[in-house]
Amino acid sequence: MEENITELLERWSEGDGDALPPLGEAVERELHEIAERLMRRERVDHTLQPTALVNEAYIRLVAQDRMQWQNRAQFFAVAARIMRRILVDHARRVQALRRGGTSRTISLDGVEIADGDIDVLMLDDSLRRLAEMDEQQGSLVELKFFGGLTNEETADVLGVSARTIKRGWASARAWLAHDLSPAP
Amino acid sequence: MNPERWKQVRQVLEEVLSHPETQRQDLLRSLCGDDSDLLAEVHTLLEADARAGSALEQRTLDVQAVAAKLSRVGQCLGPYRIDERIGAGGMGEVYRATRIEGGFEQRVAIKTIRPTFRQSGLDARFETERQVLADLEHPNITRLLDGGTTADGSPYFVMELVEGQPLDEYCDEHQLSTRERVELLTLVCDAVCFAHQRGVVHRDLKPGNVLVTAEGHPKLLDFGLVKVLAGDDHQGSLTTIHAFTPRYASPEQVHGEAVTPAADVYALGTVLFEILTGCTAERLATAQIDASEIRPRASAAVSELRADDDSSRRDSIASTHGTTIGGLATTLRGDLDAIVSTATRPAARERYADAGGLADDLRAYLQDRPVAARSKERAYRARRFIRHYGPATALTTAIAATALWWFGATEGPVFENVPGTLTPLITWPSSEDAPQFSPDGSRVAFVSDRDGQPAIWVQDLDGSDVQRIPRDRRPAQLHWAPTGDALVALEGTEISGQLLLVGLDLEGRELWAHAWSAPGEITGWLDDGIHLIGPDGASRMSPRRGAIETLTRDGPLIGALNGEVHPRTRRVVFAVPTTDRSEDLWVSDLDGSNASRLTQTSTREWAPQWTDSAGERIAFISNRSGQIDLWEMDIPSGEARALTLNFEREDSFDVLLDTGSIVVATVREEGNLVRLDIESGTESQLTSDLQLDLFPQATSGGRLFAHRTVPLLTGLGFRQMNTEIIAFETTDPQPGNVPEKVARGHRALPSPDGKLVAFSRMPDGSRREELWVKPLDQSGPRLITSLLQPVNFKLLPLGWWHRSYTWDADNQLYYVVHDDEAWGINRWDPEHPGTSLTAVRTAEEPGDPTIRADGWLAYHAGTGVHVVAPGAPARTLWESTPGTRLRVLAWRGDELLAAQQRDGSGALEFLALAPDGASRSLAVVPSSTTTSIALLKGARRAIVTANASGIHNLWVVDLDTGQLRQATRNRLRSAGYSAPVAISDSAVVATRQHEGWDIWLIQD
Repeated sequence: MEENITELLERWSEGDGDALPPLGEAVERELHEIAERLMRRERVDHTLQPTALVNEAYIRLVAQDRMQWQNRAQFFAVAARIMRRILVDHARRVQALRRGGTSRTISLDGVEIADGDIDVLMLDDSLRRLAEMDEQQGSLVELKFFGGLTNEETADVLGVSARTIKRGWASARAWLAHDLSPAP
Repeated sequence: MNPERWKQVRQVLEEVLSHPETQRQDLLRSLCGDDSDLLAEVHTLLEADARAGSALEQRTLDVQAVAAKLSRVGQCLGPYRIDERIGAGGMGEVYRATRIEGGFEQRVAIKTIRPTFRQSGLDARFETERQVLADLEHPNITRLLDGGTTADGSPYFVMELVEGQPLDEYCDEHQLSTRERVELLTLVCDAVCFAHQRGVVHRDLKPGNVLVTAEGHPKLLDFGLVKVLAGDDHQGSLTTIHAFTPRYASPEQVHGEAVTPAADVYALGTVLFEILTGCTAERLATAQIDASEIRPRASAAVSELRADDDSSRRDSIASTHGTTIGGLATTLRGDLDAIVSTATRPAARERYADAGGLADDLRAYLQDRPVAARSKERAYRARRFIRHYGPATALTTAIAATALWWFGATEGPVFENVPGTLTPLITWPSSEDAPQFSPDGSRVAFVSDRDGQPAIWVQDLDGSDVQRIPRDRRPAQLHWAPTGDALVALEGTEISGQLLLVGLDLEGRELWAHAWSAPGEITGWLDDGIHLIGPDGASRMSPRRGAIETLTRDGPLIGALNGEVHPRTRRVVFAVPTTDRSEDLWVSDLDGSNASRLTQTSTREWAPQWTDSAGERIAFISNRSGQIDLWEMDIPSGEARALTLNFEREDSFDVLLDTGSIVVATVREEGNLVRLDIESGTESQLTSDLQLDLFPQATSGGRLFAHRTVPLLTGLGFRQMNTEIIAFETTDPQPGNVPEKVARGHRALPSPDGKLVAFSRMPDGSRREELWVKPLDQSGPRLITSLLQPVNFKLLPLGWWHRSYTWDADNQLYYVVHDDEAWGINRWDPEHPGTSLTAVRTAEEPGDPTIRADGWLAYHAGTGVHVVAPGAPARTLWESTPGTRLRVLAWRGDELLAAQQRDGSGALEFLALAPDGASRSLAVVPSSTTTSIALLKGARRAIVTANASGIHNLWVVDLDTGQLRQATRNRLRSAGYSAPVAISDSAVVATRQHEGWDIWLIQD
């Protein structure tokens, strides 16, 4: 069952909500494919950022035009949503197992090591609260966190200027930092 | 906090955050006035923000965990353990699994179903069908053994595991004769008939669902599965799942009508057509369903191959069928033609009633008895149309025939023709992709895997010639060389960061292969065909020689090949991903020329490094022996041997070139450095302090660097590891040598002369990353910037990581900074340590970098269009107004061509910007969303696809006069098109339809 991704993206961007489920399916399928390969490939030289995963899915799925204004950003918006869902699902599953174990993350830069850094479930909750206060800010954070979009791309998706995104991100970040802090 | 209050808080917060820290408290007090609650709330948020530091800004997600989550391998489903994924399709994945409970070990296949297909009533339907399917005990039908639901609610089916080949592959690989093919399909028909007699219709028969075992027995897969999944789909409602393969689906299935055994007959007839002729039925099926027409005779399809200029295709069909093309056509003519034709009639009632009827006629043919189909054929009336449909390959389609399809189709094309301006040339109503016109506009290259193998096809627009260039990987993008004699294909997306650019001549020879080290798309290929704008900047690319340079504002640096450069021979060794999940090692010159493949095994080989001063030997990681080990290869002889050091996923190594040894940082002993002698294979432990050591790196300056990590807990629950840089005073450390700690920090990058090491550090509680340089002569480290920006920025003369800083060969340090106001690309010179030079400084992320032949660069950032002359700082050429989207399109002599679109204003405006910043409006196109713009005729004409009120239109814009012509109206749903080219006064453009492409001639 081949879906025309470009067309689905267009339908979705034109407000056709029915296009989102098949679009999400196609993207998730692609992420699965790529993840399968990752699991088989015991690379020592680099581990991937989710952005890269999504980027690769994009290349595989979306027809390449020289100058597409919007498709790329729209695709990443879908991918961001899926990535968020995947991570939240995953976090729920491993929550019980996580008792001080050291699961290491090695970033693309090679040497930087962090552990688990942000609790995805907490973040998910905070994001939901943020979206209740301001839906656009909720989308903004989702796009930047889970889709790896730049300010400019986020602006494209949300239909506002990059400056608005920058300001909205600054206040969202402060709010999240507060919301994620342990209770005093 | 309620939305109204947050709006208020947010306003103050954002204003305060946009100012430097020193001014914030005063500003906050003045903004809040008497509202002490507001002040307190904002103050709390500011504090939290400062405390969180960079954690939110520079988060990394655990992708391995994501991957593990996505992969089912190793998990258990009920009593089955998933061993390996063996296939994937639209509906779900197929895994090989082992039954691990119940006292006996049984190997099975498990099919998981995607959430799309999880419809209500699935469980009930499964239960109903289960008994029916369990009764289908036939030697040629795989049995449904079990089923269940995964923890996340996804259904799965357990089937008998069949090791076999798809029917079509089996026939061709064993070079079966026509007679043998008919015999095999007769057995398939018998099995389908067995099911038909028990009231079960398969609904998705295709070569991939008929596996042939090594003994030659056909096995049908997935019987009844479609019905379980989709339910009764004869209502044709919108929610019905069309779980079939369009190429083999009968018209009634496509139209959502009632499905009978005749649908399986249609699919079997189509499979028969394909295995008998070697041609695909795809295109004809589409035409047939839309125009209620019949498919051509099988023999005619084969005969037409004679007219096909692609002799290799002809030869391959003839040889796999063990005959000649003429002989094959003769064999098919008559009975077999009639059988295929009867089985594939558009009207179900005119076909064989069930698979048994088809089997009978095939037996009649095999036994030289009269076939039932012949009489029906004589009665058939529409024979005269057959010749119009030509052969089954779309590629030799004459323009006239396509035009006939175009105007003759009753369903109607999706375009309306505007007389005199738009002429259809070629239509591909299938899944061809990425069409690109040659520079002279006479040919079009596109990608297709119509015959099962990905290939680049190059077709003359007048239909006179077609070439096929088979590829191992399906190219995602194609680009022509400006000379029209070579193509560059972007291929292979096996792993991120390892896309492959391949240069090809038109005979299909690979000129070079270049690992495209950054994940991401090519956002633009400048019209000169030489400058390529990738995800990480501009490269100069010779279509015949590959990537030569990565360009920056400070002039060219040596390019970024993904591999290791030998210090003496300047040859590069690198790994290239392949489609079968392995990686091949390659060696080439620095510019990509003289490339040759070193390995061609089905195992992965990666991370190659040179091991000798002559440039003949490499070390690499491989799992040839079943476990991951270090190996060494002698390139001239091609011989490889294991150096026997068990590798773990996170291990890293560096070859100590002068000493014949390798240093490995392994996590297997809680992290330690191990020295491995290449000649003897003996290992000796260098460190044993139970710290985690990583990324050893020897420098020409006579030291061996590594990193060591110590866990550290910070506030907010954001745990991170404290990283130290350590160094041995020698590049050949021995057990007993103790490394000294160089600095606390990470991402150590020694300078090429070995006198300095650059590293970054994240001060506690700060969101800024700092860049430091430590001279190795005992003097203290020097802070270069506290505004280091870890962007995907690449200036890679020495390495191939994404880095926010790097050295060039002259020991100049480049880095990217970003503060609240601006981005900058800076350079630091050890000779003048007190100052940094800023090459580019911009307030917003730069977009559309566009280079003119003399090295001038233009880009847009924020609301401005900016230009950079070689060696000069960037200056703003023109400012737009806030709320406007900008594009920099092209240089047109001294003028810069740009476009702007105001949010919500519904118009796209083309502008010419003069060197003095004066702007001139060239044309305005009505559009709410512009999806693509292309320029031709020296940027004097633009072709735009724009969406207004949900309908995409193709516009031709004359940028000299401002005149617009609307080339299409109505129902152009899809916006894609390939960049147009001009042939004399006409433009050729390909537009994307729901499926496939149309190529148009646009005349003045």
